[in-house]
Amino acid sequence: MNKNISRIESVIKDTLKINPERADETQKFIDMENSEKISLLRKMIRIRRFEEKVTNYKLDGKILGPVHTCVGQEAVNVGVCSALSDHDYIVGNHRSHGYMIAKGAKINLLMAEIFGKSTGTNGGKGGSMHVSDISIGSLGASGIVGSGLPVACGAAFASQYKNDGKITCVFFGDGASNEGTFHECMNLASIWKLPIIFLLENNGVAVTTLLKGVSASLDLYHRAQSYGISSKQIDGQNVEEVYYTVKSAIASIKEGKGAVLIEAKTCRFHEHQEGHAYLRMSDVGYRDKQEVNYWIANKDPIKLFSNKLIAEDIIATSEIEHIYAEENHNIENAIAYADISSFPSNEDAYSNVFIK
Amino acid sequence: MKMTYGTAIREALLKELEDDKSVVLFGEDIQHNLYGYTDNLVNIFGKKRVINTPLSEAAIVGTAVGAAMCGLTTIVDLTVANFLYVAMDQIANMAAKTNYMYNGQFKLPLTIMVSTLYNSSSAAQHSDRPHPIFMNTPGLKIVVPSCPQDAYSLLRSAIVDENPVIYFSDRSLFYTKEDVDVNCNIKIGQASVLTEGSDITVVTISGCSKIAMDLLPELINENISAEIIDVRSLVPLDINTIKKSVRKTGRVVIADTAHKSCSAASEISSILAEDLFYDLKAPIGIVAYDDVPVPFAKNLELQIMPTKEKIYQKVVNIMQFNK
Repeated sequence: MNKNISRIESVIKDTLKINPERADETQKFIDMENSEKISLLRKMIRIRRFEEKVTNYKLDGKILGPVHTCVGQEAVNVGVCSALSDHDYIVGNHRSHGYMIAKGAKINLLMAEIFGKSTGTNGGKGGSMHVSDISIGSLGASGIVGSGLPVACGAAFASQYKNDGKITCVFFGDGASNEGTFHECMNLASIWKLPIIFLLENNGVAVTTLLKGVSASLDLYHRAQSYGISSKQIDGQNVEEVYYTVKSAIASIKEGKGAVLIEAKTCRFHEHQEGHAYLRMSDVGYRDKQEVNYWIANKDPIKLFSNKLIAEDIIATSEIEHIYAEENHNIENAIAYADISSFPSNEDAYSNVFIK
Repeated sequence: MKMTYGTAIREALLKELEDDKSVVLFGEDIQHNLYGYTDNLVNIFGKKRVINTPLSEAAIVGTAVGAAMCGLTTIVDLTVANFLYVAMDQIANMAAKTNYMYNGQFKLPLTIMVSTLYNSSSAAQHSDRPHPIFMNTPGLKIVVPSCPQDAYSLLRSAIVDENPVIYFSDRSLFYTKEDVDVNCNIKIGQASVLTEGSDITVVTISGCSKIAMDLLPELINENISAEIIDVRSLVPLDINTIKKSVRKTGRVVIADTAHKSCSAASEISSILAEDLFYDLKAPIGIVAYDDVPVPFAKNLELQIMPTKEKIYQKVVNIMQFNK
């Protein structure tokens, strides 16, 4: 038993071998206010509760189509979007509920979209994979792996052209890092010095294909160096580290140093998608279940941050319980809102193919 | 002002860059374009607006999409039409679907310019006329100008349109010259009746319009009164103008530069068969590229492409048909 755990620990240590110089930048910043730290925790809890509900409703058949949740990766969503300002842009991917919530999306509208209702962010035309809300700076989400990167470069180009001071952050995974667009966009962003953050969430697995089977290097941030882009690898389970690293990247971009790549090492606690078919995939052995369980037990970003805040006397256990209760309530309201909302009218199928 | 098709493109770019500072032009070799349609634009508007890009078609088209979503008016020149395929995901999954899947939250004033290079010994990978592929991709407007006036006016309309437009210029027409009225506005989605007639309708796409017009004296010689229509845009398609003509003539030949299967011609034919079955006095005739890749040797390409002779023969055949 002990031998087994130490083996897994060594595997985890290997997977989470992170650039040791990474912490330096965070010293530049004054510590967050306690209220901000609590806010980070609350946002992570909101996302977790949202995603757990979505998971259940997908299993119940209430939600149709592909649904990807970010359970286990909340610290990346929250750390990044909390460091960005309201007017900054984000470009998402197939797994985008978390960024939307962290950036301030109204969860009622988000849930309604996932339910395919007329009140949803996209009027029921996008669904889970394409949630979008320009009012919070979201430029949409693409379900095609790697295809958001060029669009993000365009947003960053527009900001540079207009000199509006906005930063664009594009989220993608280790799977996308093997797409041509990743390399094209790193090069483009570098030569044009675009105000863009490439946020690579490396959860080590694309659907069921492990990174170690398809990539020459497990440390993807190295790839930025050949394009002259500064890059950093961080612990994606540590919300403060994510937050400070993004703050540091923003400062660097505002100094005119151009694009930044951040590789956040993380773990997908759930399967690629929700639903019964994918649930079965957890038993086919494409990844080590014990390893995943180790992450869930020891590297859960919410547990880690809760414990830290309690240890630092920033929050009491009872207050955390209160946050859970409030967020549960909010999510229940979102479900009720989505449930009672009407489906789009049949005529809506024909609107907005073109803007008039 | 007399200008060639190529010059008309340049003049349209110049005018839109002049009129609106939010217009930017991305392209491969855009600062020093071999065919002259961007001549001197970089000197007038600078490298920040006339931007040479790396050969990264997906990144460039996606960048133009993102910049358009964020308030710029973007034009991308991918040069040869075949290069559209390299950027296919960004065109078909992003540009075409952004308006719809985000339910109109964004405007997308994006123009993708390409040239078709058929009948120019450019061989298989540089000779495609792939407009039908994009007709089957809802969310994209498609324009196919066939004369300098249309090249000018339709490019200006494409640039100011708040939707993604693919602008297919036809390189076989590049040096045709005519008077161009720079104040003439042509809306996308309006076909043009090039010449009126009563016996047969000839619907033309892109360079086929010039071939059909060149044929006119011979048809008149044969006592055939042809009504020649240039579609000018394929999405939206001005089907009403075509239908009005076919109702009058009862006979129709459609000439398309695309390969025949699932072409613009076959789509127009399908609509006419569905909607005007009882008005037709004869089968619908189609002249298009045969369904083989474009060969290099001149005689082989002439063998498979729509030519003056083939259109003439098809018109005569359809005219001779009696129920």
